[in-house]
Amino acid sequence: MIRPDEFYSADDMPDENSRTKMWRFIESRVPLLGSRSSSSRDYRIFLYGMAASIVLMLALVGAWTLAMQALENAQPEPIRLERAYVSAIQEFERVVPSVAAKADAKPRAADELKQRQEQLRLINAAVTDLRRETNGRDLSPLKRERLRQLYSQELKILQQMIEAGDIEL
Amino acid sequence: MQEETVWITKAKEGNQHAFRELYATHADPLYRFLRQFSSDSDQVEEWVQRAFIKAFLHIGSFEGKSRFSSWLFRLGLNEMKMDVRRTQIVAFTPTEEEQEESDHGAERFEWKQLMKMWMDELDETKRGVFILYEVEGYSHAEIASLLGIAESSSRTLLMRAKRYLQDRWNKENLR
Repeated sequence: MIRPDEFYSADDMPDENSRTKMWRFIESRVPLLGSRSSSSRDYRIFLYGMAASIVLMLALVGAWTLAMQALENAQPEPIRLERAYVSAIQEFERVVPSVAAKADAKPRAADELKQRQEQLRLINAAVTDLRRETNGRDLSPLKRERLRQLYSQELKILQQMIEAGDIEL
Repeated sequence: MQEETVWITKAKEGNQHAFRELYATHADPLYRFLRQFSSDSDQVEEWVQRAFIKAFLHIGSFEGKSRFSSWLFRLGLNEMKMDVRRTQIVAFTPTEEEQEESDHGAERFEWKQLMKMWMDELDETKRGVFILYEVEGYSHAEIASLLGIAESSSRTLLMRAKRYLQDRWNKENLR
């Protein structure tokens, strides 16, 4: 038996450059080493990026909601009340289009519905005029009272329509 | 050896560090072994690269019945043989510098040079058997599996290689 160090000479061994060169070549040809490592790195970066974007988006939404709430709370009581009315009316108005479809099916009830819709239209016009006059900031008790009456009327009409089954919920 | 089994298992799972460790352990032995079949270092580098690429690409099929090194040597030898079949490799001849050193250098170096020159006169299989058995310490069973020959052939080839080298040595000493 010959000892390897006796048999092989220094010239038989690869130098550091040669070792590195060979490894780089091997790395470039074996998907598990080169490309997979970079693709898994890219995938990880992508996931981190996505997670960061989601966190940032949630933080922005949170900040926006807080700011809006703070702004809302800073408003005087009558204005907040008025906003609540407007919001309630808008919600009702959203369901009103189904009235037309139902009216087509019952010709007799159609006249009543038309009347109610006309009333709603007039009330809405009065509300719009009054709001334009108050410009959302006029806190005159008289105008506020008038506005509340109009909203109240509108809600009543909508309530009647719901009870009569004219509005499908 | 146990550590190597761990690296192989991890490499099968796609652990990049494990591949790096296997390369660090086996690159030099494979290179120096294949270097005995060519004087062209670029050519040897290519065989080593190809052997490792094949080994890493098919590491899943390595069952661990033999040593990882013998599996790798077999892949390296196959690469070498493939090229030998394609072109006749330039036979190993010492460089001028080596020749000079051989002339004036230590006895051991001279012995090495002579041995390598005579070994170059052996065919690849005999040379492979001789190095694998006498230098790398593989058993005849391992060599047989590595070279795809019968175990008895490995013994015979080793005996013939030794006899040839012995004859050359005797002739050299008679000069």
